[in-house]
Amino acid sequence: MINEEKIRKYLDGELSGQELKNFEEEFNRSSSLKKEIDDYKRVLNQFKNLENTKAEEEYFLNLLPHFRERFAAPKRLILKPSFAAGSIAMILIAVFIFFIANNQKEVIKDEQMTLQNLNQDELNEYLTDYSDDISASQLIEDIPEEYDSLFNSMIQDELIPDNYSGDYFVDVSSNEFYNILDELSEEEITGIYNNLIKEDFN
Amino acid sequence: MTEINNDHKLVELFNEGDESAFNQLVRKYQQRIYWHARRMTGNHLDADEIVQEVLLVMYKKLKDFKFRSSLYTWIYTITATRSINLLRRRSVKQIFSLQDQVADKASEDDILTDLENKEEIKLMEKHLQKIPAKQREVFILRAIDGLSYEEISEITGKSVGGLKSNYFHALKKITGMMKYDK
Repeated sequence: MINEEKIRKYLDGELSGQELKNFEEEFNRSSSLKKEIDDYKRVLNQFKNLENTKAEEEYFLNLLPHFRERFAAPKRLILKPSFAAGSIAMILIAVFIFFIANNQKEVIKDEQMTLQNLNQDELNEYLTDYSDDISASQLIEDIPEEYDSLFNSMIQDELIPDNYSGDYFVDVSSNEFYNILDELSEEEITGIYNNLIKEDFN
Repeated sequence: MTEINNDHKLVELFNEGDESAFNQLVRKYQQRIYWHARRMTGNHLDADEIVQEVLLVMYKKLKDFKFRSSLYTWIYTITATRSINLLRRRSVKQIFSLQDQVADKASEDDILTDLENKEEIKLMEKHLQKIPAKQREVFILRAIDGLSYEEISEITGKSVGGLKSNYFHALKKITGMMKYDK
């Protein structure tokens, strides 16, 4: 039985002496082995002939000048379309964010500069317009908490004259009342006290 | 021996700044580089790209070449490595592409002038492309370039035993394919 290694050795010329003699005997006895070996030899001959393949001489003549040309040429930056598109998008986003941030600062700065340059009439007009833009709720928000209920009762009395109690302190809680008293002078408190003791509550 | 001495002298001259020595080396080896690359890749365009890469490596690395091996095995090593690298890159590209780039490129800008045998040559190149790259490499170096297994081992870094086995597998496969062509 001839194994593949023997066939390879035979084709590579590595068999000699008795080994080569035995192989040749086997080879002559077996037509299938003979055919197999012939096929291999034919293929090897065909490929060996590729060594003589002819090609355009001009290509080989220009190979070196082409290399020199490429080697001498400065390396160009070649951008891939996807990379270029991504880079442009990133730049645009960065510019947009920078513009927005910068623009907000500019608006505030411009407004400050404009106010500084206004004369008294223009300033009054600006403040009137500005106050028109502020809602009633915004005004109420600016009033300290302890005066809320007092302020509300005053507005109610103003809006509904029939319900006018004549006493804005009706809805004032004790805490709010003490807060108001704290702000009165000693003389004012004494005056109120004297009036109260003279008052007939019945 | 003459060739080795010439190579020594040419490398020496190039390292001393003689550019014409490099030109002589290129003219001497350009055909071997091109044909090895062409048989490995199966087309002219890829082979041309490899040739340019090999020349560039030679130009930059010749100063480090110490003649521990012969110059032509060193050049073959560079060519074989570059060819395998290109085939790997091509495989990756093909995974992401439905196009058969090898078939597309094979018909482009061919420099073959052997019109009589052109079809047969193309067919053999096509069969070579159908076997694994490592087997193809050994087959080309052995069957076409006529190198010994020891030289191929030096170029590829593979054991002689493994190379012999790869070579015979390649031969069997190609013979099988060529039977169908009859």
